[in-house]
Amino acid sequence: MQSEIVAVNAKIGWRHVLYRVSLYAMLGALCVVFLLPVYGMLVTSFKSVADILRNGFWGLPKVWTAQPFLQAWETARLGQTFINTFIIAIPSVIGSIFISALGAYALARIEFRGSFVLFIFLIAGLFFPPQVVLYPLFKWFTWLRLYDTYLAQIITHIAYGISICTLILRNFFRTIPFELQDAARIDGCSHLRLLLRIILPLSKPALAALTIFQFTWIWNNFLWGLVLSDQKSVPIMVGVMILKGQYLIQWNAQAAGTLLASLPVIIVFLAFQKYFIRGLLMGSSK
Amino acid sequence: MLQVRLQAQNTRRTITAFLFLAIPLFLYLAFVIAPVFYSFYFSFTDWNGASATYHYVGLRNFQMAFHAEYFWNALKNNAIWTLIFIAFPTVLGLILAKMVDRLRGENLFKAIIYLPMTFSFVVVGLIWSWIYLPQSGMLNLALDTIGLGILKRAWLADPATVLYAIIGAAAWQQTGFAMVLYLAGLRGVPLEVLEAAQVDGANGWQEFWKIIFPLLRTTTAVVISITVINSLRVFDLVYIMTQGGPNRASEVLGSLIYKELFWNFRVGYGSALSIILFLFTLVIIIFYFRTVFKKEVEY
Repeated sequence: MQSEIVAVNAKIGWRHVLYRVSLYAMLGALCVVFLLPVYGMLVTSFKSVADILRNGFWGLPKVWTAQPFLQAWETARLGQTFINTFIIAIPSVIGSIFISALGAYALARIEFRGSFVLFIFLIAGLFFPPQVVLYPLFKWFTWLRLYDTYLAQIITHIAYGISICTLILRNFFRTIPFELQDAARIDGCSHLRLLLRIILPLSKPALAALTIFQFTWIWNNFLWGLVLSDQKSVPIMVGVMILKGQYLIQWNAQAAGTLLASLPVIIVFLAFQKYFIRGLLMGSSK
Repeated sequence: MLQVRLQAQNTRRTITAFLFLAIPLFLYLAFVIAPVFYSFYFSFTDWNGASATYHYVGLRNFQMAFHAEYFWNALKNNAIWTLIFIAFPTVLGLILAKMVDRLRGENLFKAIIYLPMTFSFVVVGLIWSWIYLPQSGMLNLALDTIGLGILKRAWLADPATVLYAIIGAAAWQQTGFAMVLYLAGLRGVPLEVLEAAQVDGANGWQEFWKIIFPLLRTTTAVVISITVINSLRVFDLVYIMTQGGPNRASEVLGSLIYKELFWNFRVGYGSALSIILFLFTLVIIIFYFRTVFKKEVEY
């Protein structure tokens, strides 16, 4: 089929070649435009401030220096927020996925009245504007004496991860053949064992996509950290904002900080691009 | 007898289901749903967030909002954001998807265009703040280089350009998202259909508008719903790049609410604004679910 289309195309001859060339030229130009801001961040983080002021943001550094990274990591204490974010992100990712898996199992594999309505209710939170819950959450965590603790952000991330995790897992669980379940049930296998021994191991693609999706989302989060942390539990993106406030015109330190803050997700993206995209797709079009 | 046993089985199944649902449902109710109701409750009070007492003020907060020029200004900015976002990154995402679909080198192009999606709003905001700097910023230097120096300006300090400058940064980040969805949509278009169209002598343009685009209707509805929802709740980029300034020129509902709640301590009023935002969003959420789950509901 593919080859027949190519054959039809070939008849059009030089017009086809011209089309191809202009297509690649346009895509190439667009890619350059898309990469320029990243390039700017990269080169700026290796420059001195004097170099930036003299030569602007575009050029390569006259002298390459790692000083901005040290400044961001040590002096601006981005290192601590880096560790904080891992402490917050890891239990949040695991917690949100596992807790949602329980509910998703019930919604996908146990027949009961109102399960679809409950499903819609649970995933509606996906689209809530965070502003509508900001102040109550802030107050509650203050009352619970959890303000500025890791736990406050972990609970928040888990609660707000339930919608996306339930959506993806419930839909995936439904694709697993039911015969398997019936056979296991007849053998006296409990639902919990069924979930842990059969359903979850068969859901590795969904779990992988979800892990990457959640990790990216939580790592990049800014608003919860802004509202729920102060000193001890500042996550990295809030740390970057503090860095910006401290080093107003030291763009090199700012750039180094943003680069460091982006590295974990960039690495995850480059290593698991397929799962990254799959997570996006499963989360938006079921 | 059988009926009674079936009913007992039903009840047991329901109990099992709710045992599984207990933890997620509890967390969701306690930390997602309950706060919404709490904000709703605050929106009828004049609470300042600190004092022990507050008064019930009825709909006064909502009246104040609808009479405040800066509320309409923020709403207008959200509307501009939404329209530009539907027109620009969405269409560009569709065009890009069509361009790279089944093209040699597809994966490289995709990786480059997706890359900005991996960045946090904070990172995007900072990078683009440098690009828009008046003296040494990349954009003004580029304009100089290509001889358009006359267009140079302080992009984020000029009330006429600030909103569009921020939207530009957001578009850079999110074009890839529309592209992901449209690429998946294009994969769903059967090759036989395209082949038949070519055999019938349809040119590329006709093929796209008459055949492919109608088949992408659901994808388009999904992309637009998500775009509208995300445009309504924008906060991070605005807060990071300008905090709504200069002189509210880039204020959106998200930043306005945050400032009322955490800077001005007008909790009652800020909550009322957040409820208005929530109701707008709810309309789109309902539309979105009806689109996405249409088939399932029919079963």
